[in-house]
Amino acid sequence: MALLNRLKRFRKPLGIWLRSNHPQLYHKLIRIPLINKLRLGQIMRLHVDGMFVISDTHVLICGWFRSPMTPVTRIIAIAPDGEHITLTDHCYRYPRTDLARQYGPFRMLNMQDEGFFCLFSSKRPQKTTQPWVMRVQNATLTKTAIALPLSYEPWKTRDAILDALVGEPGTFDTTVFQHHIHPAFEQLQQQMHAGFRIKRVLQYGRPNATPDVSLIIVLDASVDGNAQIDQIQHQSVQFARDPAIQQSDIIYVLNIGQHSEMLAQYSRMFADLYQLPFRVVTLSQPVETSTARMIGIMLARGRLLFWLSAHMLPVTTGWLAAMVAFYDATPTIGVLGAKLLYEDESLHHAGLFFSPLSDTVAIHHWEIKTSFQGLHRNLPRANIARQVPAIGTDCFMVAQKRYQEAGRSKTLYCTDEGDGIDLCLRLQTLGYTHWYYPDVVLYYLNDQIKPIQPNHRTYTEWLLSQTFAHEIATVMHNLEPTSTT
Amino acid sequence: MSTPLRVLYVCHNHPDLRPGGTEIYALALHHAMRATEMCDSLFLAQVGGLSIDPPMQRAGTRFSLIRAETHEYWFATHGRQWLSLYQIYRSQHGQQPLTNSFDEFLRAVQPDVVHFHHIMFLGYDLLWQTRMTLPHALICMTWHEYLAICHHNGQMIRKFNNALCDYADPQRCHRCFPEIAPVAFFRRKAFLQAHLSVVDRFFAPSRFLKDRYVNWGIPEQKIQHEPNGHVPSLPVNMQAPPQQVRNRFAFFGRVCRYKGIDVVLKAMRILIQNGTARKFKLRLSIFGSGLEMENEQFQDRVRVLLKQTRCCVTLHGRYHPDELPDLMQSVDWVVVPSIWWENAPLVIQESFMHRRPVICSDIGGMAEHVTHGVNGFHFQTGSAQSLAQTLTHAVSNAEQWEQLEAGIPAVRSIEEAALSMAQIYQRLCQHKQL
Repeated sequence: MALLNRLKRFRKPLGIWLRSNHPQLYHKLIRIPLINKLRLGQIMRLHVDGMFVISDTHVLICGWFRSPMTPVTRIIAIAPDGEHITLTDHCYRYPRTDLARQYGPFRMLNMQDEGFFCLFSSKRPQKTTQPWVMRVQNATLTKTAIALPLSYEPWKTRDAILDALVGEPGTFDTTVFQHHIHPAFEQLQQQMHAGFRIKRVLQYGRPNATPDVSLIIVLDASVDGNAQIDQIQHQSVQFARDPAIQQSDIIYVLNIGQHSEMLAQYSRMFADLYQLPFRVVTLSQPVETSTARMIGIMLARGRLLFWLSAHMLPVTTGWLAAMVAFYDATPTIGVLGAKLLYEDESLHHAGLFFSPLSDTVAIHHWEIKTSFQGLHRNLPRANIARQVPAIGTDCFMVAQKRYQEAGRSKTLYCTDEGDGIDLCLRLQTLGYTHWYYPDVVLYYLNDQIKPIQPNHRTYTEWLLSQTFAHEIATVMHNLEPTSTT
Repeated sequence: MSTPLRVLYVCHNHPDLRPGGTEIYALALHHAMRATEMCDSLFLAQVGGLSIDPPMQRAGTRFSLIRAETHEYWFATHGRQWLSLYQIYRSQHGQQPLTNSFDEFLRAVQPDVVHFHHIMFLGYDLLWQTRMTLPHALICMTWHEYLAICHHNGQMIRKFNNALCDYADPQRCHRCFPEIAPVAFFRRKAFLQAHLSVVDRFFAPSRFLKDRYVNWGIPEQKIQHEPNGHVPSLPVNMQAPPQQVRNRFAFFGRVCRYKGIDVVLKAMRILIQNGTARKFKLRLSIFGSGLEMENEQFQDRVRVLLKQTRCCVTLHGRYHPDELPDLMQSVDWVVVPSIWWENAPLVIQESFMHRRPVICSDIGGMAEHVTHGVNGFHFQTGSAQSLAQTLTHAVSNAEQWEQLEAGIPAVRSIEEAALSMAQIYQRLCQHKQL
């Protein structure tokens, strides 16, 4: 002890000298005691980003830990009832390079931050309101953290799980989708389909008894009430100018509850003013767009189903009749899409295709691409009607009969386009082809553009690639190379 | 004699409330139209669009009489939320939409012709309502500015630098209004044009304005150039006193940035500095007000200019229209230095009525109505140097004033305009019936 006290006086100059002349000795004499002094237990970290309740027995937990000197060897979740569940072998672990900048003075400890994702189950149902305890251990240390279970609507849980997968694509591989996220989403999907109900359906104006086409328009939950009113009015005045649309079965599905009274008042006013019959469907709870659209389809009376985004605006007349004529004149057609433009007259949609992604993420992972996006509307190759692998859901026409023939999708996608592509690929297996029809032009006017989160897109692409590997490969093999880019 | 056509004029305001050019003209046309006996007209003026408007709404109706003997009505729009981008009202929860009230009014009065003179504080959806209520009526609309094209008060001037603007485009408009997305401007145009599609005939008081609307997307066959008639306030004294030097200039109208008040003051400063003002004993009289409505920076700038030019510039302030003949009598030239396009400026008509040559900016409706070297002079818009040169040129040759005065065309009277309009109504109504 006396020697140590004496050494203290010379520690700093000694350290400088040792570091430059005898690094090994410096490590043993100075660095390790310094680390010990800083108390490694404090450096060790465990952080739970989220604990998502999937069912009363299934939970998905994610977060990160920081283990100095030695790796984490044991991960345990302790349920509110005391059950210890070992996650060590089952847990998906991936480097959290995004946290490296937070090392600060401890960079020298060669620590690696690791993210973790784990879907697991308990033997007994757990109370969803009580906290869990998470525990990680390395060779010498243990760290615990409290995890509060989060219980949202299923689609919000889904989005939150994908948002919690932190890091650039490439820092995690798709096994996390396969073993954790996808099984969790399958359970959520069952709840989604079981959870909603139609609150009311209001008919405005006098409907056509035998409509040929059902236009199904889902009002986006992310758009505020006034903007939704604008969307209905702007579409109504354009629809009112077109006799074919006046004769069709227009269904607006309100994917949100709180503005329904206000929207009902304006809907009545617009129906009176523009003398345009339409129905407004209000749901008991917010659901994702594809589910809301499915409800619209259930109520549709037309021979042809036309999915139209609330952001879409036609500025000419006759476009619906032209699409119906093209559809009816093309014998094996499955889905028909139009030319969609941005407000600057550049292309938003001219058909979708698939592109093999570089093998940084996974083999056989197909990326979804939009043909000619951002290029001028007059681009010659974008002005030829052609077969395409898939059509975007902003403007999507399919015969009711073929939609029923394809059956309902068994898969839960987390981007709207995933559902449309899924239907296209299922129809393709039945021998139908999908067409892009550039003679019909509509405008895509979304001023609240929320870019699709990379994880959402990556998951959708992974899921499509898993489900339709053969179909995608076939359709891309048969596709003319010049018809995409 | 056939049954007179029943015409309804719809205007965003009444001159009793705010005597703006559009409402003065629309009301005068209504009065003149009634006098033709070819048409039996009504005048419907919006009230309530501005918070300063007096309360005019009775319980149970939005309509009340302004003057029974001349068939003028108020149309109260109080309490609505005006969406200036889309030029429509949003009724609050529980309020009856304006379109419903308008529908009731149309059903009651059953006009053959509905002629809109402005849509501000009325809403484009009233056009659609008119067509829905009266499928066979003739719907007309007179453009008085560029409000449908330009969200910047319809002036077609870039908001950030006051540069003249030639066309509207979503990206371009977004640069003037960064808080509004380009898609909203696209939607605005589509929305307005969809509602305008129900109009049978548009009238443009200037060819320039007509061209602007055609470029914007109004079908050319639907819009016609129809000059405004002039509304005389008092018997006009056209005679100008004989003078050796025609050195008295005047500015009439709102003292504001877009009317180019600073341009004419800067030009006078140049003439004072180079001795021209002293040599020819130049005088500039400013008749008008409105400086207090401008921002402080501009007010300060104008006040400094007024101080610097006080030896030969006098700010007289507001005047009553009845005083105009006397005021015109006291000047030789009228200067119209607007830095925006204008349409068919009333001041040019008034100047010509009083046989005064006009010196104006070389753009838009001004350049169209004044022929350079024939009944006035043009100068480069916004250029004080160019205006100073033009004023020097104007004052330095006494004989040319007489030549220019002789070149002033006859001004169309409101009676002539009403007669022409009545004939147009009859022709178009017959055509619609066929």
